[in-house]
Amino acid sequence: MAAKKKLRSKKAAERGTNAAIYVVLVVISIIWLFPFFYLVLQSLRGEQGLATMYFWPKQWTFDNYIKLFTDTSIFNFPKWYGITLVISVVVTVVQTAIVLVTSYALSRLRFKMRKPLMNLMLVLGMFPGFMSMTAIYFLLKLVGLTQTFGLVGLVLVYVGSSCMGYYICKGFFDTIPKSLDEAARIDGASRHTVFIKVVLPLSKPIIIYTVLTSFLAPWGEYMFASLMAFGDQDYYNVAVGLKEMLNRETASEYFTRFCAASVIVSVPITVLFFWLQRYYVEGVTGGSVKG
Amino acid sequence: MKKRIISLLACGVIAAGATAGLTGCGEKGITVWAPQVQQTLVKEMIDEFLKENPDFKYSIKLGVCGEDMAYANMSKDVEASADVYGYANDQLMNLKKINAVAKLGESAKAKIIADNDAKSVASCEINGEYYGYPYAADNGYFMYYDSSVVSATEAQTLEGVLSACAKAGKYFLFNQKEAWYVGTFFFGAGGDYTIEWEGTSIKKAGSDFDQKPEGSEYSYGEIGAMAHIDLNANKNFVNADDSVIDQYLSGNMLGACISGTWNAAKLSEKLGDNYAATKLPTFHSSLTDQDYQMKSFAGYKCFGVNPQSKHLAEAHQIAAFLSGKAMQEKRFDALQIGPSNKEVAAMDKVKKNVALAALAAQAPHSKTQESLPSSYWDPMKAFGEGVNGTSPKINKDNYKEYVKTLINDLKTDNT
Amino acid sequence: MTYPISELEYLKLNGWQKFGYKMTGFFKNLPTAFKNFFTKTIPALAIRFWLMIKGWFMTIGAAAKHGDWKTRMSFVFMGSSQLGRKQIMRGLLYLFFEVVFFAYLIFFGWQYLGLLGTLGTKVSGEYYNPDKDIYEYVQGDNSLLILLYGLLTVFFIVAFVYVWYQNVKTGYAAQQIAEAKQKLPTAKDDVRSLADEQYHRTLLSMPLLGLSIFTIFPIIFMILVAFTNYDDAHLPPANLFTWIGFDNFSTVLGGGISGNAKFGSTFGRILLWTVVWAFFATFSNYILGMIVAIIINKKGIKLKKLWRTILIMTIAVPQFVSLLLMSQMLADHGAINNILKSWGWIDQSIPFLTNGNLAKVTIIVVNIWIGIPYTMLMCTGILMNIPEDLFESARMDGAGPVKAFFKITLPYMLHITAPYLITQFIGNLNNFNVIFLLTGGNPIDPDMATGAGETDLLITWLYKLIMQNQKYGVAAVISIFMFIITAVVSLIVYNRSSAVKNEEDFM
Repeated sequence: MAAKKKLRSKKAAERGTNAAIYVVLVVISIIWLFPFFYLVLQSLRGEQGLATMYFWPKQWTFDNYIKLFTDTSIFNFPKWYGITLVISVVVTVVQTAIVLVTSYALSRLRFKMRKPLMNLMLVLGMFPGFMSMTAIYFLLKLVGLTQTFGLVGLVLVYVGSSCMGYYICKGFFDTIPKSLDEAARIDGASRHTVFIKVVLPLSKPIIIYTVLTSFLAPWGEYMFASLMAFGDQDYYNVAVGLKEMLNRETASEYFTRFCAASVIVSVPITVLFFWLQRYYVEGVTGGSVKG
Repeated sequence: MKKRIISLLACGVIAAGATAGLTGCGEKGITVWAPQVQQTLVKEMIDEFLKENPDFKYSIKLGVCGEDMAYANMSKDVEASADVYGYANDQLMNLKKINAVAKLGESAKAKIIADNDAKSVASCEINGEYYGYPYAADNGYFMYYDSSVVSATEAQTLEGVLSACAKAGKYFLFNQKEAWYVGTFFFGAGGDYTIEWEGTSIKKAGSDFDQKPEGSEYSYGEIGAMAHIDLNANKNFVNADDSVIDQYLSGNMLGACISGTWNAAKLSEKLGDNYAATKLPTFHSSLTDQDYQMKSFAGYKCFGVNPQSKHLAEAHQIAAFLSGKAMQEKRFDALQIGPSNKEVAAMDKVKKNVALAALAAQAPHSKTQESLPSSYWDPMKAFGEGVNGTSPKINKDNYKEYVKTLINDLKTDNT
Repeated sequence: MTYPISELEYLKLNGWQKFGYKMTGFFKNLPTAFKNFFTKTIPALAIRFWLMIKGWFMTIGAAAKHGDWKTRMSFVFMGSSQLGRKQIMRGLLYLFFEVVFFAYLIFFGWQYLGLLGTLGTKVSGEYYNPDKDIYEYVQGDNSLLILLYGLLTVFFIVAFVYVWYQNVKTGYAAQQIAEAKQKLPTAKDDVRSLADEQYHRTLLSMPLLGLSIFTIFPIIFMILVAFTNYDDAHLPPANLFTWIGFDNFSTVLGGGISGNAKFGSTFGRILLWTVVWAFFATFSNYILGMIVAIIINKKGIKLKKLWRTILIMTIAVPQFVSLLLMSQMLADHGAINNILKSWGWIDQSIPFLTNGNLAKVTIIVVNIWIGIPYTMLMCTGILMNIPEDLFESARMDGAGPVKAFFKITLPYMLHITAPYLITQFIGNLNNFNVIFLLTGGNPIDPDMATGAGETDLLITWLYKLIMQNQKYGVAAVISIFMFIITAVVSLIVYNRSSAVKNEEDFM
């Protein structure tokens, strides 16, 4: 009887904690969603202007969204969107491959230059990046990857140094027990086979993490994208195009449309996160062989 | 071994690139850069140009570059930049510094001098040589007001504007945070900022804000600073960038604001029949008990030609066409851009434009915005931010100190 | 806690104390580690390098002395030793490389190499063309391109020398194998080896090629710029710049960058804020993100996916949009002040971004808003990996959730994520985006040297210095100094952190 009571009180305490956690989560959610909510509000505002004195729009409209796709004479949003999407997909594929491959080599393979390489990659990222833009630009110009082929150059710039982001992925590989590799090696598998058949299937969470983060970056990148576009609207990515909208002459008129565009940009990423999260969490919880 | 593979691959890339480079060396047309808002307009202009010159040999391509971004973009790679581009005149020295702007020939020079207003022509001149085709003279600021709140006479003085706003429960908006506007009281009090050029480098630059007007115990700097402090203390003053102007318009709280032509369209739409504009008002100094006229900057826009253009003569031809009388009129009709051409400026429709008329009225009280260095912008911005806010860093007790700081920071001496 | 303590005492400590002990040890050892880095690590590297070069010459000497005609011919025609011994693929690769290299050198590289010493002498010219009535221009040398492409050529030459050496070495080795009547590896063997023993070469060649082109090469270029007078008076293509030795270094060390008396104090203030910012930005995100991940992961909490997605929405909006929006909302006349005013909570705007100290707090808070989702995402994976029995035993000992967090979760996380934490910290020292997009370094303080704002980090200030004053040489020197300091510190931290030391622990 007493044991049962204790259990019940424990359950009650548990319920109390959970309630408290829900309160915290709701508060966090409100704080986190507020700016996004504000963005959506602005995008549905019928009155033009950079800001209003009041919080709720006086006229509600979907025009800002519709016009993004119909009124493309000055700002060709669909085109920027398409370009960015293509860049993002290519970057995601290449970057994910590079990061996985690098991390695997550094985590699992043993070779002479391993430690120095890891150290080198660690410190290289500390050089202020914007100083190297000129050098990279003229290197790409040398091989004809600016102007007409600027987008190819842009993709190369984005993926070029992605092996430097190996830390997290390598950390993950480190936690996969080495006994698995050894078992496969005894069965006569080459290191390549071990990587493809043994390690990769266990790495779903980190693959998805890498996919998500690499898909994201090109959407907000401005500096290199504007350098590569070099005034040619045909090569704008979303960030460059949206920034153009906020010029002194156009800011007031286009601000609400800018917000609508931002919402549209964030939709696929949110969907992707929501969708991939399932695999991500499944991958983590499914990896019971670990630990 | 690893390096071997790397270097082999590198060579492959280079080889592939070399072939790509060779095939890419086809016929290059002429590129024109224009700001984003003018894209459709300039496209029409180019079509017109091609109609007028049916035997023009090259294709013309249009790109985007705001006049304020000309140097930022050109400096990345002059060779790959546009053949013809618009620039704001305060970038001329920088453009010249990297050899990104070509000198005009004799006939072109004679033509721009004959056609355009003297100040705009002077804006593209260095040592008696000319480096641009002026096409707009509207990069300045003046005062807009709601004529139902502020009367035309009240609009003549800052005190009138502020008290009218107070009466109506509305606000006077002025940007104290952008260095472009901060000079207005200092220059109004009689101060000046001058640059001594040596080629394209600054030899010496500085202000005379420490000088005193005749019969006054306060210097230009102190009079200007106190005007800023007094304005900030006024309850009907709002420190406003464009987004705040939009906000006060939306709340119908705007009595008057200081801004430029880019805001004309929305102000005239919102204020309707009460939309009015005039020169900047005078301000009354609490130190000297005298009135001074607020001054503004005046900037101009010109078309420049890239010296590395493959078709220089044709580029000049296009630049001259785009800045010509007909195109300036067209530009005014489409976007109300203030012309630099004397004949277009004298047209009735231009004179009737409220904002451009105000700009013209402000012209005698304006200072041409030359290529100002960061050693002008930074201290001015710092001062503007310092006097602003609910508990400003610069106040009535310590302003003299900060005026000294300002004068010191403005000084550049490379001799 | 006294330092050092015996191993026995150390073992008695709990995870948290162990971490504290290690931290104490770390900071106590930092000066020595610094000293050792320069007195031991670097000389050791130099000696190793010397030995390597010596080894090269010995191999080459041996190949020249004992090599047959095929081996000797490979001194001139690369790959001939392999080709002569039926290692066709290897031989052809060497030969191909040689052809490409000399083609590059003759058709492109040579002209720049010759000018590397002066960085160009021909000045651009301007001529009047009376027929067309225009001024025409003859482009002179472009110092920037000479430096860049000259350096590229040097890169290639170094690579060539290395490949040439490999060619001689492997060619000689092939001869020796053939003489010993053993089987030479065929192309098929080579491929198989690249999938197994040499697998790291297969995997790393592409990533390292990218790294060399897009990071290492530009960095070396920048280091060279530090020794030139590339500045506003010497901007290509109009003007030439040239080598000036260590002048830029003495300018920086003498504090003469801006010629401003306030420079020293400004530098100090910005440096202090940079460190403070990096500390708070890193640890606030780390700890809070972990806590959020833990409470979402807690058993019995429903809608896990929803909570995570809500947080992740901040990632989904591009940073320049969300930060622009934030700065607009937090402005003196922004949405937040307007709302608070309309509720009557305040009657004067709160200067979130216009008061120096408040702006610093605001930035850190906004950074939490941006950063927590990332930490949460990363922690979720690792947290689920913590062996459940660790918690079970802690629960047996009567530890509550808070105690369990400090006793088990945090030490475990610190252990696994130490490299992440370090990179975050370093990343925050150089966090350009958040500061630049949110405040642009503002508010500006008239008491600071011109151009610097109260929320400027060293990197944003550096950016302003370059963009406004075009002092590329000086900026390169500052970058080098910043690089050396951050690199050395983080190398020491990284290599002493338990995650690297006990890399094999969790395997």
